[in-house]
Amino acid sequence: MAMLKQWRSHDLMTTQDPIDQDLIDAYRSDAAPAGFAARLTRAAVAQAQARSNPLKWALPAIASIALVVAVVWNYPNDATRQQLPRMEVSFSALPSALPTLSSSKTLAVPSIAALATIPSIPTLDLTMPEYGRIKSQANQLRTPKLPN
Amino acid sequence: MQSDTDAALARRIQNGDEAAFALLVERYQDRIFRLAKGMLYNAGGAEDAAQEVFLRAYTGLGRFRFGSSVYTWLFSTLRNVCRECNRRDARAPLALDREPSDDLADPSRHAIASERLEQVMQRVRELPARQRDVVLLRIFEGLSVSETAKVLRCREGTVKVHLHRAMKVLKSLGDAEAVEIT
Repeated sequence: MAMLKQWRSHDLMTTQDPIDQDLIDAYRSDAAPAGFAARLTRAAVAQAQARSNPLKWALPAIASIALVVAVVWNYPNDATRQQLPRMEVSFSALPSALPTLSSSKTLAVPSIAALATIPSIPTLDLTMPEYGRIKSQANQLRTPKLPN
Repeated sequence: MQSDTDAALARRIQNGDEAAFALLVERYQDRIFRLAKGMLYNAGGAEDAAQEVFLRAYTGLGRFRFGSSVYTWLFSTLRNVCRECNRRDARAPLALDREPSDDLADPSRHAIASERLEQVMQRVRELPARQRDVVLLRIFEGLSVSETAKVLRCREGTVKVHLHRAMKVLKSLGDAEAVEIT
């Protein structure tokens, strides 16, 4: 068996082969640094313990959740909401011509289209001469002036 | 390869036996360290790579299903680690022509062999990955063809083909160098 193993390691070698027994011996004389196993075992055990300790990863998660809850809880709701832009919908002036369910002799409830009626929004009331003047000014701004 | 004992060690590690892990490291540290040196473009990172292999082994042995030998599994991990390291080093390339180490600086046969070894290893590192692995396992680590095939998860014929090609390349490189010197 020993001879067979020796033959195995020599079977590819001739005098011209790039890898001879001296090279293989030099290769096998190389070893891991002293104390490698002990250091590695300590590191592996420490790493495993760090992973298995729930406080290491659970604490940041709990802290971030608590922070979000605190921010939401203390959000200044009323004061801020009044400053937000709002759109009021009025149901006071329902058009009388809108169809209702009363025609089906069951319930006199206005249709959904009536509920969505938006009251008049203040618009820019321009007369035609004013509109023409503004439009011409806008055109002047848009078109570049040619040099004289 | 001592697969039976390795399997027993693996089971003990799965049960949280730290001493078994230390035994496994002691058993394979030299081999993994040397292979890392052969597989990394930057052989100086071999210790870190070997360390990473065993750390991954410690955390990953819980998922080991004994479908292969522990050595095969360690070697697969080593290949992955070395591939990652080489990819990282390729972004910041290092000088490949390193000086031979001075730890055996006596003018003996061993010192000359170690200098030659450094040159040959440099050529081995430049081989395609599969050929490089075959040369390292079959020639340098002295595994049989069937053992090499098991570790590399390929057929014995494939191992022979890769070995033949690799030796051809190494020989041609050696011849070219000899011609340059003369």
